[in-house]
Amino acid sequence: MHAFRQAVAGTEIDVLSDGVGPRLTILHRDTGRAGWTGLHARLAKHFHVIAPSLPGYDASGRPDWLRNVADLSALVGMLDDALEGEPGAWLGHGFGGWVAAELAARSPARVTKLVLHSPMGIRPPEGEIFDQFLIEAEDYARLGFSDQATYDRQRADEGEGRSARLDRNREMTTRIAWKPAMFDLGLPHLLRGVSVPALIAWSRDDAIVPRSCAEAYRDALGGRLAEIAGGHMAEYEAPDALATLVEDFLGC
Amino acid sequence: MLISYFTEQPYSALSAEDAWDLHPFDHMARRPGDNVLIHSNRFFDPVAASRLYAERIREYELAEEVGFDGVMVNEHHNAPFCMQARITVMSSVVAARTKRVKIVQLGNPLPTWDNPVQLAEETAMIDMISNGRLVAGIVRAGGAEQLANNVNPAYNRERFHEAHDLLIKAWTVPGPWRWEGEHYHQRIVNPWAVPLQKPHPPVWVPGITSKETIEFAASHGYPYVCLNTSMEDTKRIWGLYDKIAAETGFAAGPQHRGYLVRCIVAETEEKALRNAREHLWMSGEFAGFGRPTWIAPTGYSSFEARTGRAAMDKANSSLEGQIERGTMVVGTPEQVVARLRWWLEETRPGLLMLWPNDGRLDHESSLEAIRLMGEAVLPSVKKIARELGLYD
Repeated sequence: MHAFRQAVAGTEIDVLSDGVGPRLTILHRDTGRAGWTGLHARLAKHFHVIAPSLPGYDASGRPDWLRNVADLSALVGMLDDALEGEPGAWLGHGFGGWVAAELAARSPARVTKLVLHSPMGIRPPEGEIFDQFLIEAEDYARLGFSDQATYDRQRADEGEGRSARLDRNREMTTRIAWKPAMFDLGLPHLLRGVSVPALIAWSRDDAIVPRSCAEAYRDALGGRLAEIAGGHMAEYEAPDALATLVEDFLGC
Repeated sequence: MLISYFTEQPYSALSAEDAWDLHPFDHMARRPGDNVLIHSNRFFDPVAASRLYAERIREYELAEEVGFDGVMVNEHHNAPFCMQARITVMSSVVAARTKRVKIVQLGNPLPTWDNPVQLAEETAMIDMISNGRLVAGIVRAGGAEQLANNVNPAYNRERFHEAHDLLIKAWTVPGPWRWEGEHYHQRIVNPWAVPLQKPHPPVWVPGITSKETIEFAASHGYPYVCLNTSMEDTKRIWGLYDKIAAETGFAAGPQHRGYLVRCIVAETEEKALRNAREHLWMSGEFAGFGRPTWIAPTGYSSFEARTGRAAMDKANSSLEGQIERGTMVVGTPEQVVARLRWWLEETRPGLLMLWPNDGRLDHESSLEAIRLMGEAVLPSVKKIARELGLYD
């Protein structure tokens, strides 16, 4: 696995990468990218996986001027340019799914296929995206798991510095997605003009993003909606199930 | 010395059970005891509140009659501990119902305003209606206020600074002109109401310990009002304020130093202690300030400042501890005056805000405390202030 930093529009972005094959860029959720995970490693067996920490998250620089997710997705597009190569597939978890969808809406030529896992970004027709700002950052992270033991393990693996990292990541989310809370009213309309093949995955025990949000994505993009086990953070709870779904959809 | 009367205007018609029970209608994030922000307003009875507003306004009138120099008003949202949902509304009422006292706003929550020019208009109206009695304090507003008003806490300080600049300009620079800032955009600024006081009403800045806010106040020459801070913190604040003032080019004095203290006075010590427990019940045990993520949401201040604050709140909660540290001044008039003398001698404020009534204290007891202050506390405190040269 290679770790490097790439400057984009004056912001240093922290990137992890490994594997050979078609490019697959993975965008993390609003709690950040806690290193190179089992899901990254498995997908790197078939793909050239690129896993950046989004601008303002983890060790990436924070562009203080950034005020919305559409502009964040523009920076991610510029990162994609800077890394060169053919257009590839994109996988986004939760908030990262929103970023990937914004990117697909604004730069469809960069995207061959789109996998959105419990994506935020659309106002749910039914239910609500849980308001993380009403609870402590660690409690929000816990709510992402349906299985307490997996949460405890993931938290312990990360060790010291986790609280400060979660806090920094939440601050960036606050800066760009406070109001409307975790969605963009224009996005579903734009997505109707996106013809990229899409797979929407929704975690059955997701306590943060309601199923209706995933359905709205499916309706806007015309893709397929698949359910997987686990909570909102199923990439930790059911990484193999999610990886299999992604591999089958992307074709390998 | 300028002495003001303050009460949070608590919604004192609540029962203790309301705070601790969970109900099917509660917000999914609510835990027992979470009574700020998401304690359901099903428990708000407008009939009881109408009576309470009338009582508070009568108490303000009495404060003027017994010799207070000012009435301090403030603003909070979604919180049973304060019924003042709009500071300019209560300021207008005080302006109409009193003749002499200063109307001390501590303060206008600038970042929560999307149109600070409207605030410039409202405060100008209050200044004229009160015949120039307005003190237009300004605050960043606490974290919970950002949530209640859905204002992005990450830009709180930026909005505070920009709204301040826009407010001062709207008060002082004839329009029409245009404002295109980072957070505020006004096509035409030309308010048809400007303040009676020139160049504008006095601006005071209250706070707790935020270094940046103290620096802001001192660098603008605005009095800073310590909100019931400990003796140690208060002295540290004045040290920093004086240093910044000197760097800015003026010598800070008592006229720049404000102090708000819970001062609970009664004929007997026993009664004063009982009333003091009401204070704590509302501000501590009942209404609480418990959730760190509401008090100081991510982005509102630094991670270190926020985690330190949570530890501080926990340590300062008992009545005995607060009386010992002097952050609650409780007792008979003689006892209270002695304790206030200690504060005045040690910290030398020229602006004093006394906060005698809170919690579920009934109207008669509140009136009684105000009368007693007027008869037996204010004259002595003013005399001490003169002895010590504490001028406002």
